[in-house]
Formats: sequence, structure tokens, C-alpha cells
Amino acid sequence: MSNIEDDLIRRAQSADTEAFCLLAKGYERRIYLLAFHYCHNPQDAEDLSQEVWLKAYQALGSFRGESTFYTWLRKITINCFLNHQRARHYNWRGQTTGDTLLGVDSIEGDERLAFTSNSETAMHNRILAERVMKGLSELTPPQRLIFLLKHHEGMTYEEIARAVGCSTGTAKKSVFRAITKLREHLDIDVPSTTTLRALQSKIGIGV
Amino acid sequence: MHNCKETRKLLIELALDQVPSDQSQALLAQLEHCPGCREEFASLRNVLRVAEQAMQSTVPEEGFWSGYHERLQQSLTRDSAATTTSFASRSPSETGALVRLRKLFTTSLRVPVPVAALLIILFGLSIGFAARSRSQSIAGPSSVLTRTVEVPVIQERTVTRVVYRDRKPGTSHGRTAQPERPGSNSVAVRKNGATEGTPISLVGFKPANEVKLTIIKGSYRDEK
Repeated sequence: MSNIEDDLIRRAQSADTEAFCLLAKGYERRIYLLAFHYCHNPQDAEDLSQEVWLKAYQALGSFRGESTFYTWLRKITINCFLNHQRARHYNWRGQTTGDTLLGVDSIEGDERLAFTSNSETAMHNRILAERVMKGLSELTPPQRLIFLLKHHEGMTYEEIARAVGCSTGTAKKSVFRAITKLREHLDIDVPSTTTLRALQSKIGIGV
Repeated sequence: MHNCKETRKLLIELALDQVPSDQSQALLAQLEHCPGCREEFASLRNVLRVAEQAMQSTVPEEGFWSGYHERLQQSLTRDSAATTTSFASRSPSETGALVRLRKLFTTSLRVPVPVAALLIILFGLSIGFAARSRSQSIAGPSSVLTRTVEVPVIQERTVTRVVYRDRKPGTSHGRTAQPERPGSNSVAVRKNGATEGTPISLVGFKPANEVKLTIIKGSYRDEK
């Protein structure tokens, strides 16, 4: 933990909101994106990520520095996501549209624009993102969370199992299932170099 | 020795670059000699790369983050203000008492497991005994039922007296009383009633010392 972060945590623990906001600034994107890919709706992602920050602020007194601040925050995030999943099931199916991803139908559209231009690359990325989201939507919320923890956070299967409260085998199966779904939706069934190159050129990704 | 099954277990982590470098080198060397595993790895890596690219493309642009941070700041300020208000509305002594009370209920003590187990057993036993004695004290008086039952007690006294009589012609047996002979203690007695026209004298009669008691069960109405 850096000295600056240490100092910010100490100040935030003594109810300094400014210090906590500065602390949050370093991780807010990561948490928001995790929430967005988990619930796949900008409004829900914002609500969920802000709930994480409020809970973290309320629980900051219990942070003893035994782990890094981000590890502690991630634990709160996972619990928050799982509780949310228990309380309310996000209706993923059919919810995602290109406009959602582009931020066109969002509340504050200008702020949420996911892409800078309406170029061909952006269009390809949009199609690609839709496919990925559709693949992930076919997973259960815990499976999706496990995949995101592996893919985004780089956690080991043991860490995921401890954090989510499942077995290592379940964590492995969830990741495998997620990749199978992505394969199906991205049409990467045949693992040949030619097909991959064709797909990449089709969707505009450089090798 | 290459084992496809074992290698494929690690391919996802290898594709995600989550394998230590020495192990990663060994795995890549194995893939060189196994076309099946190599193709599988290439497929996995490409799926994950495409997914990564797709997810990266959903990252909101810079303008979004300033607004997001502002909203976060506002909600934090609201939350801390609500907490402060709820504390500020109480007097300092009240707050102190609340803090002490909370400490009292949230303080924990380290107790060795055997002691804790013993305490739990004792507690359980005391509860069991208390429940048992209570059930006995409740059940005791209610089990005795007082009821008054009428029991007729009939006292019978059998009086036996031998009477000597002179047998004279013309007199019917036991119908007429004979005059009392002087010096004799015989008495003219007629069993179950007095002789007609003759006074009955019980002079010299001694009741027997034995009293025969007969208890007849049942109502006096059933008596014959």
C-alpha cells in the first residue's frame, strides 16, 4: 500500500468524505466496469457500483490493512453483487441493444457514449460486444461473476472459490462454460488459424 | 511426457496469461509438439482476446467519469450527512450511552473451546432441569382429585337371649306371655316385635359385647 493511499484511508476512516472520494477515484472505473459487465445495464451498473462505494465507506472502520485496499474492496464488491443477485434477478435476455452499449438510450447520453465516433470500427465493436454480452447472458449470475473475476481480475480459482463461496471445481466449470458460450456466439468453434483470421478481419480486429 | 488432458486443464489460464513464466514456457514447448492442444490453445486465446476487445469497447468515454465521480461524491456526502444528523440530533450523553451499550453488546471474549463447551453443557442441563421441575410442580396438584362419596354405614346389633318357658296345655306357642316366675330372670320376649297385649320387660337383659358391623357398598337406596 502506498503512503498516499495509506494516508487517504486513515483520513477516510475519520469520516473525511473528500479523502474517501480521492481513494475511490483510483478504483471507480474498475468497479463500474465489473458491475456493468455483470448486470449489463448502465443504470443498474451505476446503482450497483455506487452501492459498493457506500458500503465500503460505511465499513471502512473495519479495514485493518491486513490485505490491500483493493482486495478488501473487491470482497465488498463480490458480496454486494451476490446479494443483489439474490434480491433481484437482472433480466439480461434481450436487454442489451447496440444503443445501450453506445449509451444512446441512457439517461445522460452524452456522458455515457461508449464510442467516440460512429466509424466502421465502432460498428464492428458494437456487433462484437453484443455477441459477447449475449453469450454471457446465457450464464447464471454466479457463473458470470466467476468468469469476470477470472477474466477481468485475474484471480486464481482458489481465490474465486473462497470469495464466492463455492468449490474450486465449480469455479473452473463456470469459466469453462462461459468460454464455451463465447465460442458459440463469436463463431469460433473451429480452432483453425484461417477461420480466426477471417473472423478478425470480419470484425475489424488486428492480429 | 505430454499429457493432453493435463495440458488442456491449464490452457485457459495460459491464454489469460495467468500461469507463472517457467510453467508457461514448459507448456508452450509442449504445445509445439501437439497439434491438437496447439489448436485448442489458439482457439481459446482468440475467444478471450475477442471478448476482451469487446468488453473494452464498452468502456464509457472520459466525459462520463467526471459525472460519475460527482454523483458518487454527492451520494457519499448525503450518506455521511444522514449519519452525522442522526448522531447530532442526540445529546452527547445519549450518544455516549449508545456507544457504551453498543460496545457492551458487540464486545467479544476469547474463551477456550473446552470451557465454552462445558459452559454450554451446564447451561443446557440447567435449562433441562428447570423445565422438568416446573412441569412436575404444575402436574403435581392437578393429579389429585377430591370427590365426596356417600358411603352408608349400617350398624347392626344382634341381640340373642335364651328364653325358657313353661309349656302348659291350652296355650299356643309364643302367642301369650307367661306370668313372671319369682326368682327367675327369664323374660317373655317375642322376637321381632312385642307379644300382643303383653308388656315386654327387658329387665336383666345384657347386650352382647360383640358388635357386628356390616358395610354395604352402594347407595342406601339399594339396601333391601
